[in-house]
Amino acid sequence: MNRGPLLFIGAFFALSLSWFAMILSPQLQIGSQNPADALDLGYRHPAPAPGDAQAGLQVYRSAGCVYCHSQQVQQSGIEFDVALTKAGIFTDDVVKEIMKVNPLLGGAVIRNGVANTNGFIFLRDVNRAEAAWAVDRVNKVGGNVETAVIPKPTGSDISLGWGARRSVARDYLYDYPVQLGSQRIGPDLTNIGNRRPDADWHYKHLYAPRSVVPESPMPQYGYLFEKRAKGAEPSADALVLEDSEAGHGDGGFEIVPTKEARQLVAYLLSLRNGPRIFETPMPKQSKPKTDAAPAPEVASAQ
Amino acid sequence: MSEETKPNEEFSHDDREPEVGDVAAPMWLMGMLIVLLWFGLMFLDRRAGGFDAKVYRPYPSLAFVEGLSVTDPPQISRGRALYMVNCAGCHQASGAGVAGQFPPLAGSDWVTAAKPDRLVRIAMNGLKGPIHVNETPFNEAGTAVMLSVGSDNKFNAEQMADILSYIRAGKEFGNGAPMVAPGDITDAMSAAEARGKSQWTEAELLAIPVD
Repeated sequence: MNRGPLLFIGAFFALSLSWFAMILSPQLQIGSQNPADALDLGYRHPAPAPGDAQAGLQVYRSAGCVYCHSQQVQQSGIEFDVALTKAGIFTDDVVKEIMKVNPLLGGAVIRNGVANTNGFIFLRDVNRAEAAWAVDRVNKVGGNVETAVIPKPTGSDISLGWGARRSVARDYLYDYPVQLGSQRIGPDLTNIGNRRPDADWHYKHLYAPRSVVPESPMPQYGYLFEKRAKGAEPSADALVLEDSEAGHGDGGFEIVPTKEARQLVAYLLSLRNGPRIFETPMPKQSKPKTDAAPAPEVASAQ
Repeated sequence: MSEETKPNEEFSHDDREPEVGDVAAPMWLMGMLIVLLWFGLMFLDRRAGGFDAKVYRPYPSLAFVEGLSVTDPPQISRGRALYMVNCAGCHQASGAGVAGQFPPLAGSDWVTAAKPDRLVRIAMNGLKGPIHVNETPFNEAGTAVMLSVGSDNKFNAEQMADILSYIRAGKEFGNGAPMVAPGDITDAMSAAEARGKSQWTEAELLAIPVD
């Protein structure tokens, strides 16, 4: 081998190139992100999960949930709605213009919408150029007319209800390790806290998945529960199960979630597809009644 | 089958390390790699969103995301529409103007002044003669004349406030000055309307206080 140094340099170059491209450049790109202002809700996103939920992430990890569940909502495109937010003074001209923009709506609907104005959506599911064209047409009427373009994320995950928008790097700031997952044997869990806000449902589902989802292939996580003899009174947090669901015919026992089960459920309930931030244009969200961030309801911490 | 025992013997007699001679890399391979590299870079250029941390698929660029996320106040968007029709021809869509001829609006000390009284008069009645913007002289020959754009179009106070709000606070210009409400400029508007189509000079304008 008379070209040892050359081979070494070649191998070193190839490996260091991959290090630069795959490690260093993403680190420079998104390595120093901070929680961002949620645009509508008046709090920083993401917020650290409550303590039980943080511990629950480790239970999630040790139970191997990540092998069948992903936590990343994908988005394939974006569509736009165009809304009239203020009709201004030349309402007749606005009506005429909207009739030209979207004749399919029909005159009565348009007149009614312009009269009520408040966010009257006169064009739906169009691309950006069409939305800009419609806005131009209507704005040209003048007289303080105001329109709004509403961006709407689209994609199969979003139409399945797995989230309102795609996941971005910022969403995972407080997850360690990040449980992205690559398999979808079960549904994506990014938004499970919104989709299934009921803690009791989760306990039942973990203990006996087919008692709540008959076609589920999920294994039973019985070891997260304690089976103990019934006392005179049932325990406050015992699962309410049919005997057949629990798989115990005699009925002399009750099933009580352990600490790990509570932490896991607290974690699942804390998983919510995030609010609108800069990276993810989407329809405005209505502000919750209280000023504080909507804390996940952790029903397990009784 | 009979050869099975032989190869090892043959090679074991040769203790020399294998050596590589000087072989020129084939040119077709080099060419193919360069073409591949070109395609790869084109792909990144189109799909990578400028490697910006705030750009994700399916959004092509930061400007696109900005256009969707940050909704302008209605005065600004109305002002933009008026600016594009009436002002951008000389001052350019970017507000950069044309060196020596049409003064810039982006970063101009005339635009960012505390009160818009001079701006209202310039936009309504126009301007003639030389003018200094940020100490830089424009129109030194005095040949170019800014027409009475506002008077010609009979802009009312709302429209003028929209335009001025846009050039003062619109994100394209980066001036960061406060917006203008129609109520702030009623006096200036009536003065400008009375003056009609006779242009101002720099000396006349500097006599109007804006602090």
